[in-house]
Amino acid sequence: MTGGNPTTGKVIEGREAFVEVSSRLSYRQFWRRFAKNRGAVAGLAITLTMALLAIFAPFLSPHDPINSNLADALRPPSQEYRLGTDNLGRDVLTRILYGGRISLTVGLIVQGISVTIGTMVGLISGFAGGRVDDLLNGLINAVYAFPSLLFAIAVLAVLGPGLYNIFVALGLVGWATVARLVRGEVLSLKNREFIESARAAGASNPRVLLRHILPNCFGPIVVVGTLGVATAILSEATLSFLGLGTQPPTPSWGSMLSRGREYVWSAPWLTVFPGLAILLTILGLNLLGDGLRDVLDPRLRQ
Amino acid sequence: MLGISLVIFLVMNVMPGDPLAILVDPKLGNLDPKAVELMRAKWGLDQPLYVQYLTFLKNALHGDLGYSYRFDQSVTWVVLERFPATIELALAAWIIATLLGTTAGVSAAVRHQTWFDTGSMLVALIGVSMPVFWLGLMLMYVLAVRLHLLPPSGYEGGDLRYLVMPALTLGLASAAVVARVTRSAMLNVIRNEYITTARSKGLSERVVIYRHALRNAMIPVTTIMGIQVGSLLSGAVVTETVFSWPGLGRLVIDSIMFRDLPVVQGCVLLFAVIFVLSNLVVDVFYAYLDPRIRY
Repeated sequence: MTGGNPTTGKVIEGREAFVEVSSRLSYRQFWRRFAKNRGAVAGLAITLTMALLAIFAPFLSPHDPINSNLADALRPPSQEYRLGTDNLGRDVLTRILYGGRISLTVGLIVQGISVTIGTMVGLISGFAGGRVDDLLNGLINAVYAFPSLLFAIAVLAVLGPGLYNIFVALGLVGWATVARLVRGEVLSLKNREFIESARAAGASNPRVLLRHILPNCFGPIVVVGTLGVATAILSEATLSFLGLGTQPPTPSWGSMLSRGREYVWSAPWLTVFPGLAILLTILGLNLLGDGLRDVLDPRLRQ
Repeated sequence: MLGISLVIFLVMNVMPGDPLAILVDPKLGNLDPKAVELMRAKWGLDQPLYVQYLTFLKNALHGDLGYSYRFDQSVTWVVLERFPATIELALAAWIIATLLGTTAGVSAAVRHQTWFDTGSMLVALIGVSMPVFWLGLMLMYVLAVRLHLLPPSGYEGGDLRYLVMPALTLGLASAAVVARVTRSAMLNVIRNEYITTARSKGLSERVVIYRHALRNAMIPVTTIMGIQVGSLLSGAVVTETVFSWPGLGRLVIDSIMFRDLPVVQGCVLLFAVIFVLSNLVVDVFYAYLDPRIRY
């Protein structure tokens, strides 16, 4: 289903074995393969649409996301309120558009923290080896193995609810996935011939690490980063649903659903639409992430 | 295990926030400082941190998880009381996830690159992209509000109708993950030569798939099912909130709201123990599945 040309992969691998440079793709190769991967293209389209809707929310939304208008409370979808109104008479569509900004921010910031910490720890752990690696790898695996949502809940239990604490809680658990991956990449790269030749040419440790190893990790980091944004958005929605995340009146998809739960009987549109927004966003990011993996790393393709 | 207990203890105790501050209602005016001191001493909050940790550890090993400020009861009691409901829910969900997930995964792999494969994998992808609690709310809306088939939420001991929706919610989400892993594991195995050999011996397709292929694909599938125990526990927190299911998950959330941290700590520790144990079981199971693995 998810296309991609197996022969392209083989050609690349073959060339690699022959000259032993690096497995990086040129931009043109990348886009050519990307365009052939239907899942990836669909994922990119969905993700971009959701991102643009969130960014331009103030220009697109006909109503105010925060101020209540009790006269119009709990109206079903209509001409004026396309997706209905909530218990305080606020337009659901408007709040979904604004909620997208929260989700997007959480996804990017949390993943930014995770990727930065994860890459550094992974690079150091894989490159240093020995005791340092034992220690860091133990830490990575402990955090990686523990159910991350439970960990985040425990952290929020102490820090108290709120958007900034969500960044901390999700950042504290998210880095391990990245670190594990980067460490694995470093281990498989560090004894390759092009690294040896760089050393022979007199490159110092930091130079080898930053100029030769790191760029070769970019592909996997982009893949796991994209999938991680999806996880972060889903976690924020879950935590906000539990009342541990974004606090009212800030519109967030999770807290909208938490409120909507009380009105499943009388106003189902309060639960249906924010949930659909989450579903679409996560689906887009997952398709994009899976597609990027197929494109960037043919070895991983099933 | 020791590491996990330390991490949980540190997270719960080093971070700011005085448990007594929430307990003492500010509206009641100033509580006698002496009474506050007395309470601190009673719960050992006046001791240095490492003493608190060692006491906590010693007591935990004796089955004593501390004292709940809110229930005015031992945490062990409070937690054990809620434990069966969560086990019931998680077990039912795990069975759904395993049966449905592996069946769907195997069926998709066998019909690789047909509409069935594409369709079921699309459903599985939607399944992993969906928030668990939203799936629960949608089931509640369709099955309870619209069709009146099931009670919307709550719990009656022994009445299985209350279990159906929570278990489905939690199970379907996991089934999607299991199905994706099973499919890719099967696809990897089917390419092997011994499968071709088995087929050319004239064995029926059924025997080839279930005896030869599935057994070899079980290693990654078992791994993911061990990990799923963890997500089932996290998922239970959410599902129990949606369906007002009186298990550990709701206890955690309620206790957070009341800042009854010893209970939160006890629950998270118990979750961690279950998680570690289930992964231990998975490790033992590997050896059974693949005789080449020896410890």
